[in-house]
Amino acid sequence: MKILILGFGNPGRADDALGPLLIEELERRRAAIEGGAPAARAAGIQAVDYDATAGAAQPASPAVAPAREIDLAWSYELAADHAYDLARHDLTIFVDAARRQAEGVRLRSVRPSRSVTFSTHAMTPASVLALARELYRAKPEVHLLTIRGYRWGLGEGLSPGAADNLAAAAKLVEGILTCGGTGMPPAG
Amino acid sequence: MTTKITIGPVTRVEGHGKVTIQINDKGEVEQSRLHIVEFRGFERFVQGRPYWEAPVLVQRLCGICPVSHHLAAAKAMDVVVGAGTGAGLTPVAEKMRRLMHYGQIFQSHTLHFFHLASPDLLFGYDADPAKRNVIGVALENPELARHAVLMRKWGQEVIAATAGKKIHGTGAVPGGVNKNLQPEERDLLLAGPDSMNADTMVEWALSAVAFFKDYYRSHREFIDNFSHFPSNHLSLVRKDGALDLYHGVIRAIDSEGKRIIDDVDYQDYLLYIREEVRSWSYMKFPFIKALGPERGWYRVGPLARLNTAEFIPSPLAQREFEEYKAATGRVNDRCMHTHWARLIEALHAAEMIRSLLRDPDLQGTNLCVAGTREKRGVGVIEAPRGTLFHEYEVSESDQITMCNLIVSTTNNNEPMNRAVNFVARAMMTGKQKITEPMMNAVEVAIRAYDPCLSCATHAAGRMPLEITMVGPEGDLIDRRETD
Repeated sequence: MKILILGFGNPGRADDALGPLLIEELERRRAAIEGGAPAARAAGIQAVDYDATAGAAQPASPAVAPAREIDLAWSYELAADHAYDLARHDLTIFVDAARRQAEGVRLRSVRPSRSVTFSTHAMTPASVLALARELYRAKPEVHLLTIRGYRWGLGEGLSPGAADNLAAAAKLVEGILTCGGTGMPPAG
Repeated sequence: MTTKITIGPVTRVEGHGKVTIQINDKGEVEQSRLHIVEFRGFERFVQGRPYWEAPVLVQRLCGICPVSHHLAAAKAMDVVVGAGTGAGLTPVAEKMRRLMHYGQIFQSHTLHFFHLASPDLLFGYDADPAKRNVIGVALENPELARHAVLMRKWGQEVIAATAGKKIHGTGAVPGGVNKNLQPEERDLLLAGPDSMNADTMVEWALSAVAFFKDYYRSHREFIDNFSHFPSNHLSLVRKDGALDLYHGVIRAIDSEGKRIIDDVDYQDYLLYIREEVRSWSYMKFPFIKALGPERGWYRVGPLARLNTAEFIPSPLAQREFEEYKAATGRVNDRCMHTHWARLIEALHAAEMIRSLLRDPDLQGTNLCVAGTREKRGVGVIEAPRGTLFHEYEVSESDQITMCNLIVSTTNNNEPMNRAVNFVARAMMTGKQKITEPMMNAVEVAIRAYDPCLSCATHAAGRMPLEITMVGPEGDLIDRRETD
C-alpha cells in the first residue's frame, strides 16, 4: 500500500504552518513508523483508537498492518500537479490548518469536487481529487486532516494551543500509519 | 486513548479581491477600483535577521514563486558581501541560479496557462464557471492537461536539483551557490521517465504556443481588443537588448516605443521608480519618477518584456517572437496577448534549461566569491509575473536594518485597475445588475496579469472576487461574489 501524507500551508504565517510542521514531525519519526508496530511501540508511538462521524470503522490492528510505503511531502498550496501524486498512491491524507472549527483535529473523507478558486493557483483537496479521477482514472482513498490554529500573522512558531493540537495530530497520523490505514471508507 | 474525530467545513485564512464600480447620475461608469489587500509586514519581519538568512526567509512570501524571491534576495546579498552583480559570480554559480530560475519560470508559466488561461480559451470567458476550469479542461482536452501537469512537475524537479529541494531551497547564498549539478541529477532531467525530459518539454512548450496561435486565428477580434489600452512597459533586459529573465539593466518604454529608462543599473532604481500611496488601497502604486504618478505607471510581466526586449536568445523562442512581433506590432498594449507572450517565454525557458543541462560548467566546484562588504544591496529579477525588486540595508553586526520590496503584482497595480475600468465601462454602463458575463469579464481582465495574491496578500489559497456597484451617493446598486 502506498500512502502519501501531504501537508500544506505557509511556514512564515504562524499557525498556518501546521500542515508543513506535521510533516516535519513525521519525518523525524519516520524510521519508527516504517518499522511497523513493534518499532513504533519501541519508540513510544501508540496505535490510536478513534471514532469518526462518517461511520468510520476502527483501524486495523497494528499486528496485521499491511506492507506500506509512506511518502511525506508539504507544499504552500495545492495545485494541478498534486493530482499526479494522488494517482500514484492508494491513500492520501491532506493536512491543513483550520481557522474555524472546534478545538483539536478533525479527519474527514474527501469527495471529488469541480469547484475552483477565482484567481490563485491554489486548489482544494476535493478539486485535486476530481482532477486525478479525470486525468488518470484514479480512485485513491483521500482524507483531509485539519488542525485548529489560532494565530495567522507573519512570524514563525506556533501558538500554544496550535502546538498542543499538532501533537494530537501527530499521534493520530502515527497511529494511522502504524495500522496501515484509516479504517474510514472512501467518500465516493 | 480515544481521539474524537468530527467532520466539518474547512476554512483557512482568507483574502479577497474586491472591485468597486462607481456609477454617476447619467448611469455611466465613473470610476472602478480593484482593491487587493497587501500586507507590508514582511519587510519589518526580516529586520533584525542576519543578512545571510534573507534568501531562505523571503521564500515565505509566496507559495507560487518562492524561487524568484530566493534569487532576488541572493542577488541583493551578493552586493552586500562584495560579490557585485551578475558577472561577479563564478560561472557555476551564475548558471546554477539561471537554471533554477528557468525551472521556476517554466513551471509557473505552465501552471498559469493550464489553470487560468486555457479554460477561458477552450470554453470562452462567458462560459459557465462550473465548466470553465481546470477540470473542465481535463475533460475536454485530457492530453493538454496531462502535458501541463508533467511540465509543471518537471520544472519543479529542475528547482529541486538546483535549490536542494522543491520548497524552501537553499541553493543560492550570498556570493554564489552552495551546490553544483551532479551528473545523475543532470541525466534525470535530460532523459527522465514518463516523458519528463528536456526534449519532450521543449516539444510540448512549442505545442502550447501553437495551441494559442490556433485560438488567436479564430478569435482575433476578442484577443486584440479585450482590455486594450496604452501604457508604459518596464523590465530588465540584457545589455545588448536580449530578453534576460535573470539579470540585466532596467529599460522602460512608452506606448510608442520611445525609451523612457534605458541601460540603468538596478542598484539605482530609486532614482527612477517611486511608489505612491492611495487612501483606498493597501497596495502601493509604483511609477516612473520622471513622468509622475499620472503618466508614469507601467506594466511588467511577459507582455512588457516582449515589448522592451529586442530579441530572444534561443532559436525556437526567437522564431515565435518574430511571428508574434509581425502580428502584433512594435509595441503591444493588448492585454490578452499576455498569454501568448507568456507561452513564448515558457518555450524560451525550456530551451535555456536544455542548453544549460548540457553545459559542463554546472559540474564546476568554485561555488562562491566574496569581496569588500557593502551596507546596501539591491537585487532585481524578472519573476514569472514581472519585475521584482528587493532592497536591503545591513548593519556592521550583519543584521538587516531595512528592507523594501516591490513585487510584480504591486508593479501591475495600476494596469490591473485600468483593465478593470476598461471592462467596467464596456459592460456595465447603464446597467443596474451585475451579471455572470460581467463577473467573468472582470475575472479574465485581472487573470491576464496573473496576480500572485499569496505574494501580495495573506490569501493562503482562497481568492473570492467581490464586485460592488454603487451609485453617485454611494448607495448600493448591486453586489455579486464568486469563489
